Amino acid sequence: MNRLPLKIILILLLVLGSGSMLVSGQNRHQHRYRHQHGVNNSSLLVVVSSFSDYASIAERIAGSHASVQYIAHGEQDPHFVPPKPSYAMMLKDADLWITTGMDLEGWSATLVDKARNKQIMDGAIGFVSVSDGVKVLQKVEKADRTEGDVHLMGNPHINTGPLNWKVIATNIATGLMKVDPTNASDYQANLKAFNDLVDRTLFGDELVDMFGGEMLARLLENKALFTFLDKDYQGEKLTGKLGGWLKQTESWRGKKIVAYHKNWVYFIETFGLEIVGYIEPKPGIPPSAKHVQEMIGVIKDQDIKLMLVASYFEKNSARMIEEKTGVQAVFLPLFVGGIAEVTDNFQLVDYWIDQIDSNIQ
Amino acid sequence: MSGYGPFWHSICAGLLIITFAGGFVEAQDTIRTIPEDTLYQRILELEHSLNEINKTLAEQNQKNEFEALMEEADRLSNQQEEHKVDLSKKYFSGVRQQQGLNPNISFGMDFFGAISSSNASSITEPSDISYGSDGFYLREAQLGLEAPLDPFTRGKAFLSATPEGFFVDEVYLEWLNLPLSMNLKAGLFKSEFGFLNRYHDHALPQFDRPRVLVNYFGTGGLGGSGIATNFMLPPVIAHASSLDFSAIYGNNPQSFRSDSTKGFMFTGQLLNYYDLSASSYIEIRISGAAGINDLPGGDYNSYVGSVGIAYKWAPVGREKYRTLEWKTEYLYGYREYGEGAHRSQGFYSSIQNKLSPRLWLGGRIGYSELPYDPSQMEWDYAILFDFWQSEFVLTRIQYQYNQRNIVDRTEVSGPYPSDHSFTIQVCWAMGPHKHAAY
Repeated sequence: MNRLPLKIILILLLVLGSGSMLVSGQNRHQHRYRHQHGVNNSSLLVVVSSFSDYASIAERIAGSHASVQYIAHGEQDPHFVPPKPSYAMMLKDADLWITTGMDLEGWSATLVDKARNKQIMDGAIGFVSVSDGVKVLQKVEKADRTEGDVHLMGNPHINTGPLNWKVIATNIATGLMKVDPTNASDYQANLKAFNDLVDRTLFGDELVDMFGGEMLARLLENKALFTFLDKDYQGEKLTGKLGGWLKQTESWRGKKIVAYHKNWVYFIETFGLEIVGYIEPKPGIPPSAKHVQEMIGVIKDQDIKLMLVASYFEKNSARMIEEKTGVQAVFLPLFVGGIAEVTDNFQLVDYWIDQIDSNIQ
Repeated sequence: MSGYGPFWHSICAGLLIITFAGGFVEAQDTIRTIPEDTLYQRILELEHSLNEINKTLAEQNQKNEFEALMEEADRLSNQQEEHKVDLSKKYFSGVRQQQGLNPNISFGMDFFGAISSSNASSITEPSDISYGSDGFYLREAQLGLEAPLDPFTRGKAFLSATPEGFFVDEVYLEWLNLPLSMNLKAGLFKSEFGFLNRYHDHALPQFDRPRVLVNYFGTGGLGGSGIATNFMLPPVIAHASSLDFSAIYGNNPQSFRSDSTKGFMFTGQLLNYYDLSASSYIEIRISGAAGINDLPGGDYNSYVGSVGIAYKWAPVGREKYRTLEWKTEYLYGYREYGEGAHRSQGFYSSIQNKLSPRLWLGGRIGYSELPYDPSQMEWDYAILFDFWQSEFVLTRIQYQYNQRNIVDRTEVSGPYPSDHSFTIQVCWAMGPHKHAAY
């Protein structure tokens, strides 16, 4: 048996090391600005969010006062974002760190511990939990792993519900006002404009002008909006005055669909679809052949109209179900930036609605 | 819709009747005295008044209808379930319910069965069992505790039970966010050295540690009681850089002291991290360790240095299904003795390829000279399949060939044969602890 030639190994490692540095140097610029919205200006507040959806809202609230960056890519599984050292570097200089605040971003604890930034630790002035005040759905009744990857605090995919955006925006505005009180009036004004835009995009101008967005949001959240709109006003049903996304999706209400994962619960709550089954047997557990067969049975038995799949999931199971049942699978980006043409939350929901509308049976 | 509507209608109708009736009587007296155009003008005025009254009435009705709608909307949007008195309800005090302050508790098990062509039963160190003895073994049951201690520090403890007894793997507290971008650790811990030294056995990318690490630092890795610092450096030469130092008292007979009370071991590491793209990165680690060795006759020094490079590709959006990871580390040892020094070296290179969400295919090649006798050496080759039933249950099958030119080791007697081994490992974890490798 021969001894290892030391010189050859050292040369090999040097070549590998210098090659990697060369390659990385070429990509460095690309990385530093990959996630960044706005301009790079040292006088601006540095706002970093876990997801692009929060960044999109933060940009509207912060206006010209902040440079907004985000960590997870729009097409990435939000549960499994690698806590890379370069992300810790992003957080090192952050004035505001925005996360869901539930247990979705399990990876964020490692980053925050590595970032050496007291201001963004839990409870500190620069930390914002955007879920605070959101009416959380699917709270856990049975907290053990027989239910798969359970989220102990309830379903954390709050970005899919447009009504939640107003709560998210309020929390972000609060955070901005705390770290930058001199521009508080701007943040308040931007928040008001954002909330109004959400209301008008969701309910349409006419209803918002009549009843106000807050009242309509409460009705929708209480599942009483359509009961209310069924009433007569000046000899006509109020439903006739409905506009926006809810008008576009009026025909969906009550239709049954299946989904891959529990990503869409806030979306379907808003738009009245009903999810009767999941391609995953349990959250986080990949579908077995047997479970796929069961789902095919469910789809045939229950007159299912559509399959909703976040685009980061594998497509084989959904395609197989599609072939066997004829029900369309729609693969949708879960976050802003998941596809190039979607650059903010409103475009994202526009895209979802267009895709679902053209495929739902 | 409105309670006022009929009333206003009645009043208006009465006024009109009175007006018209009065007008009619008056008209009888004056009809011949009033000019015709004045009478017409008056009718127009009355008609205008009537229209105004109707308009006001309609507006009032509309307002009333809208107010009623708002009231209804308010009721619907705020309706809550009626609060009922429930006599079966029990009340609890919070003073005895402080579980919320308990640390995060995890319990991991590492179990395996192995067969070996050599069946050298004298080799009983946990990592050596796979190619030492045939049978089933519990390598480790580990209890992990983790919690913030106060606003400034975190505490972690990992206690393990093996067939040889109970051990404290690591127990330390860590101060975060100190000046100079520093974190400071104190307690019993494994030092930052290369890629794998801080991994607990159940989290290793292969069943066992590469032979070069075992030969330099033992199966438990390089660790001990002491303090360690970690500095985040400005990103000048990399996208992220950090510098680690530790000073520890530890038991490390392979390269340093077996008596942990006699002299410090010092370690240091520079980590440079480079993003190649959104989906890939390279990490380079340069590590070193220094201390006094065990050789009789004087306080002779030992030094171990390493250079490691790791590449990972995890395509954004598809990382759940495809990942490729490659690690290579070269180690060099310098061990003084009376007449000179032993210079030894070794390396390992491993690859992990995720084939599907549950299945990984991996392999490793390694070479190692013994630090106290570089003329003795071994190669190790391994190929393995990992099946992740979920994030918390792993089944691994590993075939390994160790080709040895070793006749004598300090910790075992007799020839140390080459060996084919086949291992089935099952690891599972209860609780929240997951390794946050990136």
